[in-house]
Amino acid sequence: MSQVSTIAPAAEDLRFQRSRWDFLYLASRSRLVVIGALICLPIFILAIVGPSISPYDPLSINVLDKLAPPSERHWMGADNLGRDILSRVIFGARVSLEVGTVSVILGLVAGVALGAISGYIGGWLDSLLMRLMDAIQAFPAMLLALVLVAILGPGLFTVMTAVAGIRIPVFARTVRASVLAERQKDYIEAARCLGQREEAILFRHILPNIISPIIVLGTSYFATAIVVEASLSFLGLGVVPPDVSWGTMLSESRQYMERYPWAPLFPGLAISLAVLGFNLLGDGVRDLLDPRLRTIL
Amino acid sequence: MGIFVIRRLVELVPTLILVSILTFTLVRLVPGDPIDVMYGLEGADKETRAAMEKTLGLDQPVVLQYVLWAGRMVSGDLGFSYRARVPVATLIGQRLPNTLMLVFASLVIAVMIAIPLGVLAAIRRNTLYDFGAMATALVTLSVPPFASGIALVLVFGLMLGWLPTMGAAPPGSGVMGTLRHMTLPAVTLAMGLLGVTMRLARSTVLEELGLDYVRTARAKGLAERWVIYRHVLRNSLLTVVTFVGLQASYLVGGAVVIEVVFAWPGVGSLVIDAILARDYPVVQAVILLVAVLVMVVSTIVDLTYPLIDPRVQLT
Repeated sequence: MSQVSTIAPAAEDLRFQRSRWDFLYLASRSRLVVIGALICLPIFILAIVGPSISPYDPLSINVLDKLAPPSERHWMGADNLGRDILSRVIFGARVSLEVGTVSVILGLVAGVALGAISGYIGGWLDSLLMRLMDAIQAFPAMLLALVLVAILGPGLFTVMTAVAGIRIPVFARTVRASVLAERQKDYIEAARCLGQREEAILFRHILPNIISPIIVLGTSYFATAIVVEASLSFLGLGVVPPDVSWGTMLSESRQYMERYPWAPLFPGLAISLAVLGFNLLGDGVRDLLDPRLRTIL
Repeated sequence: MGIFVIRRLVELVPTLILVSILTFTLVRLVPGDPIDVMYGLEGADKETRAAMEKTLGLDQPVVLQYVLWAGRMVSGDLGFSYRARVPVATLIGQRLPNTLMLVFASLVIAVMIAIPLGVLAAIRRNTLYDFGAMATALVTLSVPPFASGIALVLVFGLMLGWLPTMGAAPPGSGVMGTLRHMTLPAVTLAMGLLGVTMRLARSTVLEELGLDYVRTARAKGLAERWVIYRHVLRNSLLTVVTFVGLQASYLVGGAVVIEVVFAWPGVGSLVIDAILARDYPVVQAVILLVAVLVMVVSTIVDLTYPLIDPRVQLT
């Protein structure tokens, strides 16, 4: 018996490593993943090393360079306060990726917890939680995000919380559906017969087996999170200085875009490219982990 | 059918109550005192504040405040705007038709463009056309609405001067004037929906093309055009039409941003102004109204399902 218990984890580790390599191999063969990664990787690198390679301080005002066109001095031109647009685009990447990462994690933690509890425990708690999720989903996401930001006040973390909050019902509903399907299976019955506690069954058996839809949910929401942050900042309710947002840059450039079209061009391109990259990556990961969905969208 | 309709309407009630509780709570959580907002910088003295608290019902326990507020909402009294000093119903009455017009126009644009393109992509699967159509869908999905809105304003409004870029048509502009003013915001709003609808139309038609009855139709010698129009489209477009019908929530949310880009006088720009000015009654009423509208539209789409496809039985 003791031999079995020492060999089994080793075999499991080996199987896990193999499946991880298989996944990476399949990912490297997926056009969507490769193109998405080619777009996203430079953005990630820019966000990480941004402060060291940024030519100027994104907040430093220089009236002499006010609305300067793209040149050797300012590759993407300068805005109405003479701030270097390239430096601001680089720092904006940082904010977008921070919001994407943190809000997806926050949303997943809350959504998975609520969905798992709701699906596993069932009964009145399930009904109550799902009715609450229905009610939250009745509000258009953007409107809900605006109200959440108004409640929490402006700032990077509140934007992340709002962006995460509007997605919790979708995460919770999907996880609940997966838990409901999984808890009917024989291995759960077997675990129960072996005397395992309910929490152990949920955390050690069910959740690891529904990790694919959770990863799909997270990767698909990353791009949307970037758009919601940029939209909130565009409306003047998002991140505030010293943080720089592509949405704020676009909003500010509207006043003078007729004569200086490069001012909205670069932040607009940056948002679109980042969203395109993460959409491709999300679609690619979805196709790999859940091929059934490929036929739906 | 009758029982299903009644059951569906009854099911709406608890969700509606929860939506109203959420709306009331969310707006109460917004920091700042409404009386301070009403009296601005000069502020209200002690007596005035007490009188206002009594008038607005703010001196009552929160639960009672909710009950009174919900009662007023049901009776159509949406409150009084702190900022505009007019009933909220009047403000919404002025703005809501503009938003509904915008949403409807964008829905029509998205359907008219996306469905034919998506269907054609499925019929010409794995061709250059299919690849181009799906790449276009992905790009429209990836450009945020406010960014595409700004690009459209820049090109068609400011550079070419073809279309107005700001506001709705003034009264008496006629149908053409209204359409000209609405074109850019409606196209911008439609773009987000365009990509998803194209992809969905393509995948549902592809799925249908692989079914046995299509093979039978082809085997009995039916022309390909008839197979597509009389069989495949009829069966596959139901999913797409239903999906589009259920996009009310997305479109209203999108309209909030688009209305700001184009200074379109709808409820979206009204709610943004109200949030920035802390005009709570307006925020509260608009949010509740929009949520109720979204729920009603979803229910109507559910109920019309058997009308579109007689095979669907409501039970």
